[in-house]
Amino acid sequence: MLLGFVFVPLLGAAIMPFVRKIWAKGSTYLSVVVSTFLVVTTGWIAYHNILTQNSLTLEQWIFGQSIALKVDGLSLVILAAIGLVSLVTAIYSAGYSFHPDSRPGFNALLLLIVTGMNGLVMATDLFTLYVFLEIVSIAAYILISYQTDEYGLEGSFKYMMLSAVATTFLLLGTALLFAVTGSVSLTDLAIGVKSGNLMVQLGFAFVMFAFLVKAGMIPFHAWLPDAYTAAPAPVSILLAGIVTKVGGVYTLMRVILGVFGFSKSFSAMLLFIGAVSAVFGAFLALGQKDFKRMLAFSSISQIGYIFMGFATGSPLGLIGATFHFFNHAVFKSLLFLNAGAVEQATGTRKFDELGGLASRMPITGTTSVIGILSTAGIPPLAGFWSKLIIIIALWQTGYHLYAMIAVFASVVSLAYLLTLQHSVFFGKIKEGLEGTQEVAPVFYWPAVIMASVTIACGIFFPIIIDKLILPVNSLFGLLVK
Amino acid sequence: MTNYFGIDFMAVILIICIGLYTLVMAKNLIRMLIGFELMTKGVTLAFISAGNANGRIALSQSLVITMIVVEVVSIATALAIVMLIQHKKNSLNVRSLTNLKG
Amino acid sequence: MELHISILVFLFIIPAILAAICRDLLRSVIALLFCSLGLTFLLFNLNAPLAGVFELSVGAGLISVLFINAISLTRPLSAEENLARRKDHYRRFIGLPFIIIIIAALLWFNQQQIFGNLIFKKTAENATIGQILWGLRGLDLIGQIVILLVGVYGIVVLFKRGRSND
Repeated sequence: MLLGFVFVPLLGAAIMPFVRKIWAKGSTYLSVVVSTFLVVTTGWIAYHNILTQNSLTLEQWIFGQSIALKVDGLSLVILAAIGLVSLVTAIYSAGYSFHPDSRPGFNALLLLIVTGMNGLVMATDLFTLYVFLEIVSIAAYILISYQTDEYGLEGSFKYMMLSAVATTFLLLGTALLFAVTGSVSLTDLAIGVKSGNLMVQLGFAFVMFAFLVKAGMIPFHAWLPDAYTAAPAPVSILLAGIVTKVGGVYTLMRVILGVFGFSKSFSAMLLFIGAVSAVFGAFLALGQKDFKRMLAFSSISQIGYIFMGFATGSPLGLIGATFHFFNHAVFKSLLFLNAGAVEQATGTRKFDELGGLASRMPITGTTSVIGILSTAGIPPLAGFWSKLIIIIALWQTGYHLYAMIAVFASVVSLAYLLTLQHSVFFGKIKEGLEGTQEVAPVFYWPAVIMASVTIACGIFFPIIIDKLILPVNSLFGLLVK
Repeated sequence: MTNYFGIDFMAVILIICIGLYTLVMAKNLIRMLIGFELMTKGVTLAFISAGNANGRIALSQSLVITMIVVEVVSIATALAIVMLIQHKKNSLNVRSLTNLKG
Repeated sequence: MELHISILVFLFIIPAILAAICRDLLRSVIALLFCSLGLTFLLFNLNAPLAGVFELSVGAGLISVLFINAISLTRPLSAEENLARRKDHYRRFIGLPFIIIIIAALLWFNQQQIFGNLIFKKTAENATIGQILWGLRGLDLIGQIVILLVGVYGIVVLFKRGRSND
């Protein structure tokens, strides 16, 4: 059954050219159907395994030993996020004004990038992780430059060059670990790296460096705002919502949990990088004048939070990080959906040219208020709970200073998000925008879906934590200290 | 069977340094890709000499074969994007990529 | 051992430096081809013939063709631009050989400290490459299929759009 997560989207992408010949509009429906299938299957696995049997780790070997797939608590949450974000992207792209010839290609690439992410999430060895990471990156380069305008090509090229360095170091680290342990599967590596000699440490450093670049943490963040801003609207929803997080954050979590375990110095380093990203990302966002660019810096800041929660190395921190991962995927794609809708309705993303849109675009205005409040961490929305858990985890493990930094960064986030809300949606309507109308339903329905997910996660958070996120904890049984 | 790992690994470090230097210092977009290609060659050598050292040469060969396929696709995509940049801007200079700032 | 080191130096490192330094991109690509050739000999020498053949046909052959294609399709520089940029180019890359020689010397004279005490656990392996590739690395093969699809769709889409909207 796990094979379906890889093969269904792959098949969908493979038959896309034929679908297009038979039925011109079929490609969009196909990608919507496939991503709905993914959401439903994830929900079914969660329901079946958590509510009835209470054992979460699913492992499958198919064709003898040739394909090994594994889903545990962490992967299941990520799979749910991938399904949701790809669903709203597919719906949103139905209304986006692509060149008619290029719509099937877009949908095929969307399904392929989803295939790559699903494979990445279920991979059980470091080299397979690399192969699927590379699928995701190459599909992302193409999607960013999809409109072949100057901005898209430039953002794509910058992303590509930093990714190339990251990929090289990931492979070099893998080669070193392979030399020492004689294997590349995560379980064998975990046994092999206990010797802790120079080569293991070098390999560890290279692999971590690669994932931090992929996640866009502060010293290596140069590519991220450019890529997000330059990409066409549906692609930036997908990129900001899930792609960079799966490529950098999930992979790092998986490798640490599965292979290396936490050490004192590593925790300190990751906490420092996370805190720097959370604070400076928020300050850089404060100075932006472009809707999407501000959201891109906000992404850096929020990913800093995820890393801070994870770096505590405590079960509560892991829960907070996983929950924030899911929440961030939901509310950041919600905000990018709104950015796309505003750009669609007014033709600009600059703050000085926007203002007072709430009266003209009530639905977009309301959903963006929900997204912003959730990002800033206002109760009872989902973002509040995950931030609270992360801060409590930081406090409990004795990192009091970092807990205070996290609170401080949250205040700065509230400041820039209110600036955004004020200059785009509230206040008096700007000249020349009086004729603005609410966007077509195909643009605001995805935002409504995401907003209701945020509200539901906030209100029913005890159930969500208990049933969906808490099983992540079982991963700590495997930790090598 | 002689163990070449130490010597090979020195070559790997050197070639990755050359590749990184090229990637950072080059002005021409195609030369940046040449730097990337050099780094890939270094990593290939690292895998095979690791496999030679720990006796799992067959596994390392199968990894390298996969890796070469992946890298070819990534280079082809990169060259396509570079050619489109040249087509749009009529220049291959990396300094011409200054639209996104701030 | 001597053969190995001389292949390394003369067919792997020196072409790589040339590929970085050559002013003419076409010559750079030819140097890259020689670097690939050196890598092929190294792989044969390290008992990895299949990977060597792959490197020869794909790494040396296909990638050089792709690069030469891209270079010939992009606009060549005019004569005076060429002259103006030559000085600038050599100024930026003149440091490379010296840096490489310094790093090489540092590594060479400290190799006992760095690599001297590495002990490898030898694992006996009796499966062939085919058995490993098909029997253990199935997910990688699926990954290769996916990545080829990505490449095909991507290049078709990029070029169709890139040519049509100018």
